[in-house]
Amino acid sequence: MKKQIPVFLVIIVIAVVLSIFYRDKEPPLPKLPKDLKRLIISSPPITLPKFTLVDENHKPFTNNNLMGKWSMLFFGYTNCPDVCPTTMAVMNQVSQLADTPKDTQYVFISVDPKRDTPDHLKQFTTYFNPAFMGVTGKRKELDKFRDPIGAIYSYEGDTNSDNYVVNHFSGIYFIDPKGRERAYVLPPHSKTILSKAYQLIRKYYD
Amino acid sequence: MTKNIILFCILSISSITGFAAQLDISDAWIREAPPTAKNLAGYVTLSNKSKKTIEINSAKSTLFAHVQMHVTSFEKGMMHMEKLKHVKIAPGEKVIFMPGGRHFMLMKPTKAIKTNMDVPVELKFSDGTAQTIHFKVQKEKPLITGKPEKTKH
Repeated sequence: MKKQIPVFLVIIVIAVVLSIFYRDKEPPLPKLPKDLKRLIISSPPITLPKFTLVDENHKPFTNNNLMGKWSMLFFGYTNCPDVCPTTMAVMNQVSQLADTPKDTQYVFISVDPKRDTPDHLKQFTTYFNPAFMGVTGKRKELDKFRDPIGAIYSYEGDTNSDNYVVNHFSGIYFIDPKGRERAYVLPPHSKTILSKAYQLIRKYYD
Repeated sequence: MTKNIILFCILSISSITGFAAQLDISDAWIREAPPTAKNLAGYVTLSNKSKKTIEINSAKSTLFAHVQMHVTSFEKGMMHMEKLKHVKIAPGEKVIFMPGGRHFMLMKPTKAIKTNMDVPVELKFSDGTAQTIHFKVQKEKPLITGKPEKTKH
Protein backbone atom coordinates (compact mmCIF):
# COMPACT_ATOMS: atom_id res chain seq x y z
CA MET A 1 0.00 0.00 0.00
CA LYS A 2 2.77 2.39 0.93
CA LYS A 3 4.52 1.68 -2.39
CA GLN A 4 1.41 2.28 -4.51
CA ILE A 5 1.03 5.94 -3.57
CA PRO A 6 4.28 7.16 -5.13
CA VAL A 7 3.54 5.25 -8.37
CA PHE A 8 0.12 6.87 -8.55
CA LEU A 9 1.69 10.28 -7.97
CA VAL A 10 4.35 9.69 -10.59
CA ILE A 11 1.68 8.87 -13.15
CA ILE A 12 -0.18 12.09 -12.35
CA VAL A 13 3.01 14.14 -12.55
CA ILE A 14 3.89 12.59 -15.92
CA ALA A 15 0.37 13.22 -17.21
CA VAL A 16 0.50 16.88 -16.12
CA VAL A 17 3.95 17.39 -17.62
CA LEU A 18 2.89 15.75 -20.89
CA SER A 19 -0.28 17.79 -21.11
CA ILE A 20 1.65 21.04 -20.57
CA PHE A 21 4.23 19.96 -23.10
CA TYR A 22 1.69 19.07 -25.77
CA ARG A 23 -0.75 21.87 -25.10
CA ASP A 24 1.29 24.54 -26.88
CA LYS A 25 3.24 22.28 -29.13
CA GLU A 26 3.65 23.85 -32.52
CA PRO A 27 2.59 21.87 -35.57
CA PRO A 28 5.37 21.49 -38.16
CA LEU A 29 5.61 24.34 -40.67
CA PRO A 30 3.19 23.97 -43.57
CA LYS A 31 4.69 23.24 -46.96
CA LEU A 32 4.76 26.42 -49.00
CA PRO A 33 4.13 26.48 -52.73
CA LYS A 34 6.82 28.15 -54.87
CA ASP A 35 4.94 31.39 -55.32
CA LEU A 36 4.69 31.90 -51.55
CA LYS A 37 8.41 32.30 -50.91
CA ARG A 38 7.73 35.75 -49.52
CA LEU A 39 5.48 34.35 -46.77
CA ILE A 40 7.50 34.11 -43.55
CA ILE A 41 5.91 32.12 -40.73
CA SER A 42 6.79 32.63 -37.06
CA SER A 43 6.87 29.28 -35.30
CA PRO A 44 6.21 29.57 -32.43
CA PRO A 45 4.16 32.75 -32.85
CA ILE A 46 5.47 35.96 -31.30
CA THR A 47 3.54 37.29 -28.31
CA LEU A 48 3.29 41.08 -28.35
CA PRO A 49 4.17 42.95 -25.16
CA LYS A 50 1.51 45.19 -23.58
CA PHE A 51 1.03 48.38 -25.57
CA THR A 52 -1.41 51.29 -25.63
CA LEU A 53 -1.86 53.09 -28.93
CA VAL A 54 -4.65 55.36 -30.14
CA ASP A 55 -7.05 54.65 -32.99
CA GLU A 56 -8.54 56.93 -35.64
CA ASN A 57 -11.57 57.58 -33.40
CA HIS A 58 -9.30 58.81 -30.56
CA LYS A 59 -9.97 55.59 -28.62
CA PRO A 60 -7.24 53.49 -27.00
CA PHE A 61 -5.96 50.61 -29.11
CA THR A 62 -4.39 47.88 -26.97
CA ASN A 63 -3.60 44.17 -27.11
CA ASN A 64 -7.31 43.55 -26.46
CA ASN A 65 -8.15 44.99 -29.87
CA LEU A 66 -6.20 42.16 -31.48
CA MET A 67 -7.92 39.38 -29.48
CA GLY A 68 -10.65 37.06 -30.74
CA LYS A 69 -10.14 37.64 -34.45
CA TRP A 70 -7.44 37.53 -37.09
CA SER A 71 -5.88 40.83 -38.13
CA MET A 72 -3.82 42.06 -41.04
CA LEU A 73 -1.40 44.82 -40.06
CA PHE A 74 0.60 47.22 -42.16
CA PHE A 75 3.05 49.86 -40.90
CA GLY A 76 3.54 53.09 -42.85
CA TYR A 77 2.75 56.80 -42.95
CA THR A 78 0.13 58.77 -44.84
CA ASN A 79 2.59 61.06 -46.64
CA CYS A 80 4.05 58.01 -48.33
CA PRO A 81 3.31 58.35 -52.05
CA ASP A 82 4.21 54.96 -53.46
CA VAL A 83 4.33 51.88 -51.25
CA CYS A 84 1.62 52.71 -48.66
CA PRO A 85 -1.20 53.64 -51.05
CA THR A 86 -0.28 50.66 -53.22
CA THR A 87 -0.36 48.30 -50.24
CA MET A 88 -3.60 49.74 -48.88
CA ALA A 89 -5.21 49.28 -52.30
CA VAL A 90 -4.01 45.65 -52.41
CA MET A 91 -5.37 44.98 -48.91
CA ASN A 92 -8.70 46.45 -49.95
CA GLN A 93 -8.84 44.23 -53.03
CA VAL A 94 -8.06 41.16 -50.90
CA SER A 95 -10.70 42.13 -48.33
CA GLN A 96 -13.30 42.06 -51.09
CA LEU A 97 -12.42 38.65 -52.51
CA ALA A 98 -15.03 35.93 -51.90
CA ASP A 99 -12.31 33.54 -50.66
CA THR A 100 -11.01 35.89 -47.99
CA PRO A 101 -12.41 35.06 -44.52
CA LYS A 102 -14.72 37.91 -43.58
CA ASP A 103 -13.82 37.85 -39.87
CA THR A 104 -10.65 39.78 -40.53
CA GLN A 105 -9.62 43.13 -39.10
CA TYR A 106 -7.41 45.41 -41.24
CA VAL A 107 -5.14 47.83 -39.39
CA PHE A 108 -2.86 50.55 -40.71
CA ILE A 109 -0.29 51.64 -38.13
CA SER A 110 1.38 54.98 -38.71
CA VAL A 111 4.97 55.28 -37.49
CA ASP A 112 4.77 59.03 -38.13
CA PRO A 113 2.62 60.18 -35.19
CA LYS A 114 3.86 63.75 -35.51
CA ARG A 115 2.05 64.32 -38.81
CA ASP A 116 -0.53 61.51 -38.68
CA THR A 117 -3.13 62.60 -36.16
CA PRO A 118 -6.12 60.28 -35.58
CA ASP A 119 -8.31 62.54 -37.76
CA HIS A 120 -5.75 62.48 -40.52
CA LEU A 121 -5.51 58.70 -40.27
CA LYS A 122 -9.26 58.32 -40.48
CA GLN A 123 -9.39 60.23 -43.75
CA PHE A 124 -6.58 58.07 -45.10
CA THR A 125 -8.00 54.65 -44.17
CA THR A 126 -11.60 55.59 -45.04
CA TYR A 127 -10.48 56.52 -48.52
CA PHE A 128 -9.33 52.94 -49.14
CA ASN A 129 -12.00 51.14 -47.11
CA PRO A 130 -14.24 52.59 -44.37
CA ALA A 131 -13.83 49.38 -42.35
CA PHE A 132 -10.04 49.71 -42.19
CA MET A 133 -8.69 51.00 -38.89
CA GLY A 134 -5.93 53.58 -38.56
CA VAL A 135 -3.77 53.46 -35.45
CA THR A 136 -0.82 55.42 -34.15
CA GLY A 137 0.62 56.39 -30.79
CA LYS A 138 3.56 57.68 -28.84
CA ARG A 139 6.83 56.50 -30.30
CA LYS A 140 7.68 54.62 -27.10
CA GLU A 141 4.42 52.64 -27.35
CA LEU A 142 4.84 52.11 -31.09
CA ASP A 143 8.34 50.79 -30.49
CA LYS A 144 7.12 48.35 -27.84
CA PHE A 145 4.66 46.98 -30.35
CA ARG A 146 6.79 46.81 -33.49
CA ASP A 147 10.16 45.88 -32.03
CA PRO A 148 9.54 42.14 -31.33
CA ILE A 149 8.13 41.62 -34.82
CA GLY A 150 10.92 43.48 -36.60
CA ALA A 151 8.87 46.30 -38.10
CA ILE A 152 11.75 48.76 -38.26
CA TYR A 153 11.49 52.37 -39.43
CA SER A 154 13.65 55.49 -39.59
CA TYR A 155 13.22 59.16 -40.45
CA GLU A 156 15.19 60.77 -43.24
CA GLY A 157 15.47 64.52 -43.66
CA ASP A 158 14.56 67.34 -41.31
CA THR A 159 11.82 66.13 -38.98
CA ASN A 160 11.15 69.74 -37.97
CA SER A 161 10.09 70.46 -41.54
CA ASP A 162 7.13 68.95 -43.35
CA ASN A 163 9.22 67.24 -45.98
CA TYR A 164 10.89 64.34 -44.26
CA VAL A 165 10.59 60.80 -45.50
CA VAL A 166 9.90 57.75 -43.35
CA ASN A 167 11.70 54.59 -44.36
CA HIS A 168 9.78 51.63 -43.05
CA PHE A 169 9.43 47.89 -43.14
CA SER A 170 6.58 47.14 -45.49
CA GLY A 171 5.64 43.55 -44.92
CA ILE A 172 2.00 42.74 -44.14
CA TYR A 173 1.56 40.92 -40.81
CA PHE A 174 -1.02 38.29 -39.88
CA ILE A 175 -1.95 38.41 -36.19
CA ASP A 176 -3.79 35.40 -34.72
CA PRO A 177 -6.86 35.61 -32.43
CA LYS A 178 -4.60 35.35 -29.38
CA GLY A 179 -2.95 38.60 -30.44
CA ARG A 180 0.28 36.91 -31.53
CA GLU A 181 2.25 37.54 -34.70
CA ARG A 182 1.92 34.41 -36.80
CA ALA A 183 3.34 35.36 -40.20
CA TYR A 184 4.14 38.17 -42.60
CA VAL A 185 4.31 38.61 -46.35
CA LEU A 186 7.22 40.55 -47.85
CA PRO A 187 6.71 43.13 -50.61
CA PRO A 188 6.17 43.71 -53.48
CA HIS A 189 2.52 43.02 -52.67
CA SER A 190 -0.09 41.66 -55.02
CA LYS A 191 -3.71 40.68 -54.56
CA THR A 192 -3.00 37.10 -55.65
CA ILE A 193 -0.04 36.43 -53.34
CA LEU A 194 -1.51 38.15 -50.30
CA SER A 195 -4.83 36.36 -50.65
CA LYS A 196 -3.18 32.98 -51.15
CA ALA A 197 -0.81 33.48 -48.21
CA TYR A 198 -3.60 34.57 -45.88
CA GLN A 199 -5.86 31.65 -46.80
CA LEU A 200 -3.02 29.20 -46.25
CA ILE A 201 -2.27 30.61 -42.79
CA ARG A 202 -5.95 30.62 -41.82
CA LYS A 203 -6.53 27.05 -42.99
CA TYR A 204 -3.40 25.77 -41.26
CA TYR A 205 -3.53 27.59 -37.94
CA ASP A 206 -7.22 28.34 -37.35
CA MET B 1 14.60 86.51 -99.69
CA THR B 2 11.48 84.37 -99.99
CA LYS B 3 13.80 81.43 -100.54
CA ASN B 4 15.50 82.22 -97.28
CA ILE B 5 12.20 82.49 -95.45
CA ILE B 6 11.04 79.15 -96.81
CA LEU B 7 14.36 77.58 -95.87
CA PHE B 8 14.08 79.07 -92.40
CA CYS B 9 10.58 77.68 -92.04
CA ILE B 10 11.65 74.23 -93.17
CA LEU B 11 14.59 74.28 -90.80
CA SER B 12 12.52 75.37 -87.84
CA ILE B 13 9.82 72.80 -88.52
CA SER B 14 12.39 70.03 -88.81
CA SER B 15 14.08 71.14 -85.62
CA ILE B 16 10.76 71.16 -83.78
CA THR B 17 9.93 67.66 -84.95
CA GLY B 18 13.50 66.70 -84.07
CA PHE B 19 12.92 67.90 -80.51
CA ALA B 20 9.53 66.34 -80.04
CA ALA B 21 8.65 62.79 -79.02
CA GLN B 22 12.09 61.45 -78.31
CA LEU B 23 10.63 58.91 -75.91
CA ASP B 24 7.79 56.55 -76.54
CA ILE B 25 5.35 56.98 -73.68
CA SER B 26 2.83 54.38 -72.55
CA ASP B 27 0.71 53.52 -69.50
CA ALA B 28 1.13 56.90 -67.82
CA TRP B 29 -1.03 56.96 -64.70
CA ILE B 30 -1.22 58.42 -61.22
CA ARG B 31 -2.87 56.63 -58.34
CA GLU B 32 -5.65 58.83 -57.03
CA ALA B 33 -4.71 59.63 -53.47
CA PRO B 34 -6.65 60.15 -50.26
CA PRO B 35 -7.71 63.77 -49.65
CA THR B 36 -4.94 64.15 -47.07
CA ALA B 37 -2.14 63.30 -49.50
CA LYS B 38 0.62 65.82 -50.00
CA ASN B 39 2.55 63.56 -52.33
CA LEU B 40 1.40 61.43 -55.21
CA ALA B 41 3.24 58.98 -57.40
CA GLY B 42 3.26 58.88 -61.20
CA TYR B 43 3.93 55.66 -63.11
CA VAL B 44 4.82 55.28 -66.79
CA THR B 45 6.74 53.21 -69.31
CA LEU B 46 9.33 55.18 -71.31
CA SER B 47 10.98 53.61 -74.36
CA ASN B 48 13.89 55.10 -76.22
CA LYS B 49 13.44 54.34 -79.88
CA SER B 50 16.06 56.85 -81.00
CA LYS B 51 19.69 56.07 -81.71
CA LYS B 52 21.23 57.98 -78.80
CA THR B 53 21.03 57.73 -75.02
CA ILE B 54 18.41 59.98 -73.49
CA GLU B 55 19.02 61.39 -70.04
CA ILE B 56 16.17 62.86 -68.00
CA ASN B 57 17.56 65.58 -65.75
CA SER B 58 14.45 67.05 -64.19
CA ALA B 59 10.68 67.17 -64.30
CA LYS B 60 8.06 69.78 -63.49
CA SER B 61 4.30 70.23 -63.56
CA THR B 62 2.00 73.21 -63.27
CA LEU B 63 -0.22 71.14 -60.95
CA PHE B 64 2.51 70.45 -58.36
CA ALA B 65 5.05 72.54 -56.47
CA HIS B 66 7.82 70.03 -57.16
CA VAL B 67 8.31 66.88 -59.20
CA GLN B 68 11.19 64.53 -58.46
CA MET B 69 12.25 61.16 -59.72
CA HIS B 70 12.48 58.60 -56.94
CA VAL B 71 13.18 54.93 -56.54
CA THR B 72 11.79 52.74 -53.81
CA SER B 73 14.15 49.99 -52.82
CA PHE B 74 14.01 47.15 -50.37
CA GLU B 75 17.12 47.16 -48.19
CA LYS B 76 17.83 45.43 -44.91
CA GLY B 77 14.13 44.71 -44.52
CA MET B 78 13.10 48.34 -45.02
CA MET B 79 11.58 50.30 -47.86
CA HIS B 80 13.74 53.26 -48.77
CA MET B 81 12.98 56.11 -51.07
CA GLU B 82 15.88 57.60 -52.87
CA LYS B 83 15.94 60.66 -55.09
CA LEU B 84 17.29 60.04 -58.59
CA LYS B 85 19.28 62.92 -60.08
CA HIS B 86 19.13 61.52 -63.60
CA VAL B 87 17.50 58.66 -65.39
CA LYS B 88 19.38 57.42 -68.45
CA ILE B 89 17.70 55.38 -71.14
CA ALA B 90 19.96 53.72 -73.70
CA PRO B 91 18.89 53.39 -77.36
CA GLY B 92 16.37 50.59 -77.74
CA GLU B 93 15.90 50.31 -73.97
CA LYS B 94 12.86 51.03 -71.87
CA VAL B 95 12.49 52.14 -68.30
CA ILE B 96 9.39 51.31 -66.30
CA PHE B 97 8.22 53.56 -63.49
CA MET B 98 5.96 51.33 -61.38
CA PRO B 99 4.60 50.84 -57.86
CA GLY B 100 7.36 49.78 -55.49
CA GLY B 101 10.09 50.88 -57.93
CA ARG B 102 10.94 54.04 -59.82
CA HIS B 103 8.27 56.71 -59.69
CA PHE B 104 7.69 60.37 -60.30
CA MET B 105 7.13 61.87 -56.89
CA LEU B 106 4.58 64.65 -57.32
CA MET B 107 4.77 66.97 -54.33
CA LYS B 108 2.28 69.49 -52.97
CA PRO B 109 -0.58 69.62 -55.49
CA THR B 110 -1.65 73.17 -56.41
CA LYS B 111 -5.23 71.95 -56.81
CA ALA B 112 -7.24 68.83 -55.94
CA ILE B 113 -6.15 65.89 -58.08
CA LYS B 114 -9.14 63.75 -59.00
CA THR B 115 -9.88 60.63 -61.02
CA ASN B 116 -9.71 61.05 -64.80
CA MET B 117 -7.78 64.31 -64.59
CA ASP B 118 -4.98 64.88 -67.06
CA VAL B 119 -1.73 65.77 -65.32
CA PRO B 120 0.98 67.08 -67.65
CA VAL B 121 4.57 66.62 -66.47
CA GLU B 122 7.37 68.13 -68.49
CA LEU B 123 10.65 66.21 -68.65
CA LYS B 124 13.89 68.09 -69.29
CA PHE B 125 16.61 66.17 -71.08
CA SER B 126 20.37 66.66 -70.83
CA ASP B 127 20.54 68.00 -74.40
CA GLY B 128 18.26 70.87 -73.42
CA THR B 129 15.12 69.50 -75.10
CA ALA B 130 11.89 68.68 -73.31
CA GLN B 131 8.93 66.36 -73.60
CA THR B 132 5.60 66.27 -71.81
CA ILE B 133 4.01 63.16 -70.32
CA HIS B 134 0.24 63.23 -69.85
CA PHE B 135 -0.64 61.17 -66.78
CA LYS B 136 -4.18 60.02 -66.23
CA VAL B 137 -5.42 59.93 -62.63
CA GLN B 138 -6.95 56.56 -61.81
CA LYS B 139 -8.05 54.69 -58.74
CA GLU B 140 -6.41 51.47 -59.78
CA LYS B 141 -3.60 50.44 -62.05
CA PRO B 142 -4.81 50.40 -65.66
CA LEU B 143 -4.41 47.30 -67.77
CA ILE B 144 -0.81 47.47 -68.83
CA THR B 145 -0.35 47.26 -72.55
CA GLY B 146 3.31 46.28 -72.28
CA LYS B 147 4.87 43.48 -70.29
CA PRO B 148 3.28 42.44 -67.01
CA GLU B 149 4.78 44.01 -63.93
CA LYS B 150 7.64 42.11 -62.36
CA THR B 151 10.05 43.32 -59.75
CA LYS B 152 13.51 41.97 -59.23
CA HIS B 153 15.45 42.47 -56.05
